[in-house]
Parts: sequence; C-alpha cells; structure tokens
Amino acid sequence: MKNCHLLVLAAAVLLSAVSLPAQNTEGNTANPPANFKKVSTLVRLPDWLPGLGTLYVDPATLPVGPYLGYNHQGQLVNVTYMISIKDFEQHKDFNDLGHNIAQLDLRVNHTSVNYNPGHPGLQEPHYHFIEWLITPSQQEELK
Amino acid sequence: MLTFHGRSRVKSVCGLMLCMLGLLAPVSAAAQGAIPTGASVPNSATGPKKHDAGSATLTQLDGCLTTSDGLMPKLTLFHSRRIYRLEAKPTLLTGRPLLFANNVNALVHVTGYLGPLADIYDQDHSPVFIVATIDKLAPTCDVKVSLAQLRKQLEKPPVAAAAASSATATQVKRAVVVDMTGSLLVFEPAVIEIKAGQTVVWKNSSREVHTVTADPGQATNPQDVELPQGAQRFDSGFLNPTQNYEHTFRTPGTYRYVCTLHEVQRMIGQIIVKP
Repeated sequence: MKNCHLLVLAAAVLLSAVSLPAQNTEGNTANPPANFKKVSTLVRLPDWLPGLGTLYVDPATLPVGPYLGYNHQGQLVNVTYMISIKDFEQHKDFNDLGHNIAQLDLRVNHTSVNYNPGHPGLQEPHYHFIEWLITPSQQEELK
Repeated sequence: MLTFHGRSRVKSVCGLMLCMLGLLAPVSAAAQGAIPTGASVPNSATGPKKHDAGSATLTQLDGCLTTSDGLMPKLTLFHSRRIYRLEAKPTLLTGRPLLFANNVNALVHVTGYLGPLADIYDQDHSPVFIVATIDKLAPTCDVKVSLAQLRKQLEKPPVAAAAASSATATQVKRAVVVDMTGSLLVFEPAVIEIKAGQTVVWKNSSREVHTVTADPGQATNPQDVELPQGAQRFDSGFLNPTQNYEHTFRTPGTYRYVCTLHEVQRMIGQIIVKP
C-alpha cells in the first residue's frame, strides 16, 4: 500500500514537472513565437532531429525549454522539456513550465519520457519529457 | 521548509521514480567500494573458477557481455547462463572508459570478485561481480569452438593475434565497419587497426544523429582529434539514423576522431593505419 502511494506521488511529481497548457487544437500551424529561435542556430545540432522534428526554443528558457518541435509541413507536433538527472537528484522544482506558450492553446495527445546521455546544449545526462500533439502513428513520419 | 522526514520521503520518491524510469548509471557505491576477501563463489562446476590472489579470492568467469538498456553491463555465463551485474574495479576504467562498451555482445573472460550486494538499480537483482580484468575471447557470443580453444588463442602474443584477426577480417570484407550503436554513444569497435588503402565504413544504427569528425577545428577539445602528418582532415557531417559514411585511409599513422555532438560524452574512436 505504501508503495502504491509512493508510485502515485512519483507520477504526480513527474507530471508536475512537465505540465503544459493543455487545451484544444490539432495541427497547429502557427509560427513559433517571435522570441523563439531555431535550436540549430544556437548550438551545433542539425536543423532536423529525427524523431523530434525541427526545434525552436526561447533562449531565455534554456536548457529546460519548452522546445517547440515542427514537422516537415511546418506543423507544431510536440513540446519538449529537458530535465537533467542532476536536477532530479538535487530535488529541484520546476513550476510554471510552458507559461510562455500558453497562448498557443495546445492539446496534448500523449507524453513520452526518453533518456538522453547528453548533447550540445545540455551535455549532462537528462530526460526529454515530450508532450505530443499528434498520435503515436503520426510520430512515425518524423523519422 | 521540509522536515527531515519530508526530505527523506521526497528522496525515496525520487529514488523510486528514477528506478521506475530505469534511470541512473549503474553505479553502486557499496558494491564498488568493498571488495570482499571471503566472497562466496557460486556453485557451478561449469562456471566460475577461482584462485587466491593475496588475501582476496579472485574469481574467473567466462560469458557473454551484454548491457541492459544500453547502460548496465551484464555477464551471462557461457555454460550455466547465470547472469551477473558487472561493476568495474575503481581503477579499471581509468584511461579505458570504453572497456565495457567495447566488449558488448562479445564473449569475454573476466577476473574479479563477487560484490557484497545486488545493485539497487538493477531490476533483475542480478548478483554483482566486480571486474578486475577483462579479456575478449571472441567478438561474438555465438561461437562454435570450445572455451579451451578460445583461451589458447587469447594466450597468443597480442601482435600476432591482432594480425591474425585482421587477416581474417580482410578475407571477409575489404572495408572495415565501425558501428554507432544504441544509447551507449560509442564507436564500436572504438579502436581498429587497418592497412593503408583500406576503407572504413561507419554505420549509424542508433536512434541519434552522429558525426565522424577528424578535424580539430570542429572538435570541442581539439586534442581529442589526432591526425598523422600530411593526412587530410575528414568530417561526415550529420549522419542520421541508418545513414553510413566511409573514408579511405592512405596515410599511415594514428587517427583519432570524434562525434562532435557527443564528444563531451567521450564518443571518440581511433584508427591505426599500418603501412
């Protein structure tokens, strides 16, 4: 029973770290907000990241994000947050993530949590919390 | 402000959460720090052998080295199929951080000690084995010859063995393949020896974008890259998953190259080109 409580609490902690303004719309084709820059212009990464798309971020929110991921058709398909394991270990809180994209009024389809050992922009081991605005089958097109 | 209990609970939750996610590199301080002098040795007539090295009991194992989730090294014993979680002795990986990574899916002979505890991050709760030495018996776990024959090959002088291996590889294919696999962020094998004029093909079989770059100007730390005098710099550019890159080496010497996206994670390879 105690373990069950811990699991629920763990899930709550997890979700609170990735909260996103979740409302409506499918196929958001809006351009990134003006203060968002293409990630490939900020760090040495390709324009297109297989599995994620073309990422944009407000440099002021680095490295956590939100990162806005666009598909080849210019459609916003995901919002990613990158949280380092060190932050977890230091019990760091993240509140109000995504406040700068609240106006996009996005609807989340599902969430992925993926380990990453590090890359330019966030070199230490971390997790990508990816809020998908499309279905898992539509994700296949992002390869 | 959190009370002590509050902090403990949060810590437990985070620990559990990380555990649920299969998170955290498999480092068990308890297992690493203590090398038991009287460790019990598994009952296996076919598996572990031991001999005394000073006061500690040195155990020998032969098996297939694999990783769990690309991170946690495991050894499945050749005969008994028993599985051990491998930890490196504190100094083992110094200067050779890719020792486990370079032996993934290979048949290996390890010596070391049984650890005191199972790794708490290992969901399989496999017993921990602390590795003191590791030798590759065969590049694959699917071998058709006996362990005795493999050990005999291992006892050959390294140069002769390397030459024999190189000759075998050359007979099979002219191009040497280096794989970029999984989430380990390694070139596999990390070090290869070829002859001048041979071509190396890098295959990106991972889910990440990588580069193959021998250009000090593009490396985060130019000293991570090394080229023989007179050799041309080379750079694959971004290699998406499933993409390949090849380069023919004409100038003998030692080449060290990096993945510029994962150089900080020590994704570095080396090619020794013989005349």
